[in-house]
Amino acid sequence: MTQPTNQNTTVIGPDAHFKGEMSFDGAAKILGTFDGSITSKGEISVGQGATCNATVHAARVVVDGTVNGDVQGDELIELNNGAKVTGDITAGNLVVVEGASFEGHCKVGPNAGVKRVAPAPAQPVTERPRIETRSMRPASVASESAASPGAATAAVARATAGAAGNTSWLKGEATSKDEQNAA
Amino acid sequence: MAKPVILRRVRCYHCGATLEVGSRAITVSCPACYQRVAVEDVRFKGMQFGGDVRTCGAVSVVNKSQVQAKMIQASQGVDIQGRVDARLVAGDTVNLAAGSRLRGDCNARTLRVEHGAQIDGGFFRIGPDPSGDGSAPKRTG
Repeated sequence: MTQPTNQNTTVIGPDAHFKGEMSFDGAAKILGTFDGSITSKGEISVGQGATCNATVHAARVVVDGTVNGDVQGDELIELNNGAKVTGDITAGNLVVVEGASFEGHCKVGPNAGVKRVAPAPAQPVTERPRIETRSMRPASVASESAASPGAATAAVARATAGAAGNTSWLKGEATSKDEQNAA
Repeated sequence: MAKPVILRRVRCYHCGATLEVGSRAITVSCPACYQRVAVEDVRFKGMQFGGDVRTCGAVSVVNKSQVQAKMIQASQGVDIQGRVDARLVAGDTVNLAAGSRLRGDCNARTLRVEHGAQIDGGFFRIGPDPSGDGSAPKRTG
């Protein structure tokens, strides 16, 4: 079994039952029962007798116990003797020792890991091209829109109502706040 | 003076019966199921496309060679150094050497993946086989 190089290893003891999400910067060793998801930038070791019903994602994952869930190791996944993994494996490198058992989809290789998409460069803010609508509006609307945008909405509604004849619902909805305040 | 016959024990991939065959035998007829059983070791060199490969021996795919088949079944394991696009069923170990590439499902007792090997998806079932003969699991549905 590969020993964790980091001295600061978090250990979930054999009598612990943890449920939830855990994230580590360094190494972690699971000896108890864990339900949820584990993420680490270092090494995660699932000890003998431990049970992980979890999604495990780390740089290196060493399994001696039981894992029910997807396992992703960016660098390496090591399944030692007695390990039992039920779930999909995605790894840069995979080591399966005799006696280990694995059932699931497997993807191994330098291109197997999740590709990290670089954030898109910020788009420069450009002014939208103005669309001339003066020809569609009556002259009274154009003058009101210059005064205030709320009034312009009401003016458009009035103009539309005038063109359509009977649009009482439109009159009620399109009354601007400026006009309400004035009333 | 005749050379002593060296026997080896193989398991029929049709019925699972144990046979004792000569070390230089290529095919035998299974006394239990009367089916033809290939017991030779198969070595792929170059390009091979199509067909199934079933043997009680071992299968090896040499470096820079490419095999594309529906299924490769080998009771004594598969050693891959080239590229394989097939469903593997091995009674023993599947060894993926550095630089090798496997695309397809894999059912084996043990899997050995060397640094630099590549596996492209596929459903894997690694572990001790309950039947112990490395026979292909029967598909349902």
